[in-house]
Amino acid sequence: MAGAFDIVEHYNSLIKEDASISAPVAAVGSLVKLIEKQNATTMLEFMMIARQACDRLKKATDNSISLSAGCDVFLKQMSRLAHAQSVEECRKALIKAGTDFVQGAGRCRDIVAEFGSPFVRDEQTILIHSYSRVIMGLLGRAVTQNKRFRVYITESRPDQSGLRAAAELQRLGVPCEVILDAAVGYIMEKVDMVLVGAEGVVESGGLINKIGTYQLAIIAKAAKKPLYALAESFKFVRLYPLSQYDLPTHRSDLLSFKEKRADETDWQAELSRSNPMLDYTPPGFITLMFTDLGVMTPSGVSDELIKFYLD
Amino acid sequence: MSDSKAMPPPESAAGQAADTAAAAAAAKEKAKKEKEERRRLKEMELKMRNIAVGDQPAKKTTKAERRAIQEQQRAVKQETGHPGAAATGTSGAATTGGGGARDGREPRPEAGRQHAGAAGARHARVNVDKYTVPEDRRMYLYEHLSLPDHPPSSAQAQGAGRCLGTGPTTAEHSTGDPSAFAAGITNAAFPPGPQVVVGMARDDYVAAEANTPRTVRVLGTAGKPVEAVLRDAVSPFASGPGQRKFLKPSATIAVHPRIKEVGLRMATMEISGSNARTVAMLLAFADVIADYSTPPRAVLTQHLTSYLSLQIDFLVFQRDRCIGMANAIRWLKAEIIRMPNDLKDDEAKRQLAEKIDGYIKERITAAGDIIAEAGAQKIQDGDVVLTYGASSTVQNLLVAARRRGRRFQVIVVDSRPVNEGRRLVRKLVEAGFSSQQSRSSSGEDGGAGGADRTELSDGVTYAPITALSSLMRDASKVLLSAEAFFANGTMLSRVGTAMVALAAHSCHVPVIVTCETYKFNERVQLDAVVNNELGVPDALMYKTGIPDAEPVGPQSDPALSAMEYSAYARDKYSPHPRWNNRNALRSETPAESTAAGKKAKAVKAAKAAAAAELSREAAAVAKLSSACPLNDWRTSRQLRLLNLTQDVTPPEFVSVIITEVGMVPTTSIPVVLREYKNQI
Repeated sequence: MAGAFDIVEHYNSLIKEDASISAPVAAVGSLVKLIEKQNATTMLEFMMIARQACDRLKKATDNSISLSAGCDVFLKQMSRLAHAQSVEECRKALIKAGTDFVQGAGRCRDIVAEFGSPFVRDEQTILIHSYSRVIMGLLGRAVTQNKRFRVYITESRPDQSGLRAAAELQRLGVPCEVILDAAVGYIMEKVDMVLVGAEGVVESGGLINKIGTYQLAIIAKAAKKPLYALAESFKFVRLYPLSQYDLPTHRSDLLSFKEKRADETDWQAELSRSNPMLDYTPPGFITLMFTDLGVMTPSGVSDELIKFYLD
Repeated sequence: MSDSKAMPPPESAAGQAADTAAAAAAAKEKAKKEKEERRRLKEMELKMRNIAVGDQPAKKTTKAERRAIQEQQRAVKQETGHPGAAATGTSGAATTGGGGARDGREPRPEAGRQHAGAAGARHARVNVDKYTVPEDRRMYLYEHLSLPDHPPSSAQAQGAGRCLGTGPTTAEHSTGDPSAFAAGITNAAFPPGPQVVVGMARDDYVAAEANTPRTVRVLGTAGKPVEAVLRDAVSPFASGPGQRKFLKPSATIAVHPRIKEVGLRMATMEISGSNARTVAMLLAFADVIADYSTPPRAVLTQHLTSYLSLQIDFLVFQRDRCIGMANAIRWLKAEIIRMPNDLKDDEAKRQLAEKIDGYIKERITAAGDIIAEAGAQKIQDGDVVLTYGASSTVQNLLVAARRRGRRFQVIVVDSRPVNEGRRLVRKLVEAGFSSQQSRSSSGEDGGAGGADRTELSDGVTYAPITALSSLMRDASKVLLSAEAFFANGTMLSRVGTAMVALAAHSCHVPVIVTCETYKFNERVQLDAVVNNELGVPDALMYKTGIPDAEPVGPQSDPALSAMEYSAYARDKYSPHPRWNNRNALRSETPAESTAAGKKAKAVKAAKAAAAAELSREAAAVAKLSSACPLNDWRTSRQLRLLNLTQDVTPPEFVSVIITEVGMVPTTSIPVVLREYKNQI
């Protein structure tokens, strides 16, 4: 197959090298590398190799959703170029497009921050969920604009990524409090707006994100607080979940009343083992999306996706 | 056919004489006609069950007899003389194939059409070589879209009078006389259905009933102002000038027989459903174009479009086009206009035939396959899928999911008056959905793999729409099909769909809708009143003795059949406590009870049939008047029947639309419309 070059290894090394790199960008980066090393002679072979590599990547990593966004973009680009030119030309074009994408991706977060920062105003109280690099970028931008605001951060079990966000915000000089995931309803009344990131933005206009986002969104909607989702456009995925159990990450053994021995059960360990890590928030709960294509309604996302994949 | 011994009454001449003499005789005549009508309905029903009613001598004589009442006695003699000749003529046509039929022109147009009626039922295949779509593909289409059994060849509708083409050569065949024209229409091989002409004055109606050219004319209301629609809808039989619609046949250009055939089959609902209708229409257009030749000093691109418009007018008159048909028509006309002017006729016709075939393949059948495959992925093991009515796409989707090895239950919700869900139930059972089968097979296996499989039932439940609110709680997905989607995201579909979607929405059950993109429309529609299709009002009545539609399974009792096919009812060990107690009431072993029950049912049915034969007239009349208070709606000025056939579902009730270009939310329809316009 890939011969000496192992795409999974390369992907992991990319992630390790640069902490700020997103999964889809790393995926495209590794696919470009793969194409560079390949000497396929026909277009079909070329596509086959890329497709196999994508499948391997998706299997090998745990957050396959945002990764598959990158793979989809790459494959779509490939099939588009396939019609036009010879194999060699196509390869060159593909490598160029991929490299451009990886370089451009770094700027995406800045653009999102640019579009989103006007929504942050003085004396606001913001609730954020978990740790998200885009949210950090936006709040950082707001700080440089000398805005005064406070932030509540959910603890976000089980990996407690909220603590990391709190530490980072503290360094920026933003007053923050970490709240229990169970305290979202308690705190919602005091909040002016809710910001969430996204693991993937799906065709319905909804989003897939760290577990707890859905319940946060429900409470926000019940309390009539605006919820803004932040996502780079490379996180748009070709998925259309109908419910929580319609996600590719769903496994039948999650929270499935498996029989356990009463004396041997370690409930603490069971907790993170049998719980899902992601949930799906339907578009009805999202007020607006901040993306690098602009600020758009959830339905705007599906429009962009259709436009990209239709032709 | 047991019914054929209802002899053509020999006193037809006597009856006519009495008609002038006394009112009593007229009443008798009327009763006779009613009897006749009932017989015809029965015949139609039998035809629906694919029993050939073709060369029944009784039928021909009755047809002639019926005509005789309308016309003069002279005609009676001539036409009763015909059948023998007609029979030999048609068999000749059937054996010799295309050429024979085309050349077999009759000198008299009326006689020729009469002849056509007799010939039609025989499924004679004529002129097959002219079909531009290959025959096997055509069969595939018909099966695929659950069209009625066999695509009748063009001979069916036309018989000897095939040569209704264009230009001066055909002028001799098209008569200027409208009544003769109407007679020609009704003479096609279609058994007449209940007759309604919406918008007819009451007196006209009574008169029309007396001397029938019996056709169903369900007039659509497209393009009418709201007031007119409301007026028609609320009082379809209110008198008033200008409401009556008649087709004005052109003196120079005739309607092609294939178009007549398709139009009538649509009018009698033999072809129904958007996909089936659009495909049937396009195939008919392909034949029309194959038979077309540009008249001298005319340009194909201009002349053909106007010629097609006339054909379309006829189709629309028979039954208003659905959105899919309208879109297809618009596409075809655009294609014709886009053709280069200097193209030879043959070449242009060949290209158009190819394009039509491509459209059917790309936008309808292949699109349906893609939708079925994509949708099947959305169905998981253990799902309970609720669907409403019958749709070819939904059926294909469910079967595709089953083929992938998914185990899930289907609830088919159905409603009067069409009860099309029964068809779906039968198709699903044929495709292997059956709780009983899976249960017994897993029980016999007993061993590996059986353990977790028994938990998953894959049965089909049939239920009336009135049971919706309780069934919805059991459903995990709702699967519907659309007749059209509008730019604002509203869905147009068979009446009752909005109710199902609303129930699903309130129970938080995702609503999946299948829709090919050729049914997307850039219009905006807010409710179902501005544009709807009125069904036959009589359909709302319960007709004792005439089942609503063909029943499911061997039994003739529809309610019983429904029970037979219900997964819940059979399932003693059903996890649903609401359903299993029904079975507990029956203590016999199930196999014996059903066998014995069937036998008893059969005996009972036979007895009932015999009894009905004896005093059919009196019993039916008594039953009709007692069974349904709606029966006298024609004479009652207070009572109006409103049979709307479509409704509109708001976009927020639809979770996802599965199209051939992917799954889209209702908010993205304008994007699909826009992007697609550039593509095609």
